[in-house]
Amino acid sequence: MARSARDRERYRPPEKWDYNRNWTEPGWPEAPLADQKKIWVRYVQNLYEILDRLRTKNPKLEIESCSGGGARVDLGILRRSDQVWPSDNTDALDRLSIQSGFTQAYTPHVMIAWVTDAPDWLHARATPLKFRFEVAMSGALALGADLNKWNDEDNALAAKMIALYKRIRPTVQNGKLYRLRSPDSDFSAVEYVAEDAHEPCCLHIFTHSASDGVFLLLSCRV
Amino acid sequence: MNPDATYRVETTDDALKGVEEISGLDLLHRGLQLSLRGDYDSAVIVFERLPSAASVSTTH
Repeated sequence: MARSARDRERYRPPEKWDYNRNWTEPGWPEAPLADQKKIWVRYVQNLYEILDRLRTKNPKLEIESCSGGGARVDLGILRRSDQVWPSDNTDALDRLSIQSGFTQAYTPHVMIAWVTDAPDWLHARATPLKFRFEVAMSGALALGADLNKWNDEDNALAAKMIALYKRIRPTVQNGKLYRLRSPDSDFSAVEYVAEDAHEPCCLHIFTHSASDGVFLLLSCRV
Repeated sequence: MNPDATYRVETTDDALKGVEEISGLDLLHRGLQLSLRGDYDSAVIVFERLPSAASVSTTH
């Protein structure tokens, strides 16, 4: 369907800064050793300059930086981008630890969290779609799966999860994060609480390994 | 959590009703019992404090 001129004006495709090949032989032998090392600093300075230029030209441009992509997630890159990609590992179970570590330093607001296909490419681990959604709903939910492979049941679940996420998104992204149980155990839990007591707060619980018959008690911060 | 308040509780856990209203007192003393089982099970539970009857304005 053709976009109207107004839609075209509204839609500004986001920019993703990716970087999938690390330097193997940086520098040049003729230069003094101290200068050769400057390439790492110059790269970052030039990256910042390019992003600054893009921002100046189009202030509404959304920029996503890949942690492999910008080769960094830090306050400098966060000043110039809207969201960052914590890891290429999108396996939902691993992601619990990655997200727990990431949010020690940065807000869930900037933490892109994709629902991707299972089995995942790294471990060939098949996690349920609901689990993958609920892990990703702990950050900035996005879809990175092949939707052509989803059946009606998957689509219905996705619609339900996305609708729920839209309700809790302000709390997840801007609320207070409480770590009720670490991912280093058989189950984990995080809770997000809004500043306003009348805004929704939400509790996300995940089992990592079979814990049938175990009585678990969690105290929330509602 | 306010024991005098009522909360709208919405959950994706199969053991609980999708949406129900529960008093803060019940949540504090009885809590919620979930049915998470086995590997890679999960639930999102949303608590929303409802306006108290006293704070709801009415028009006639």
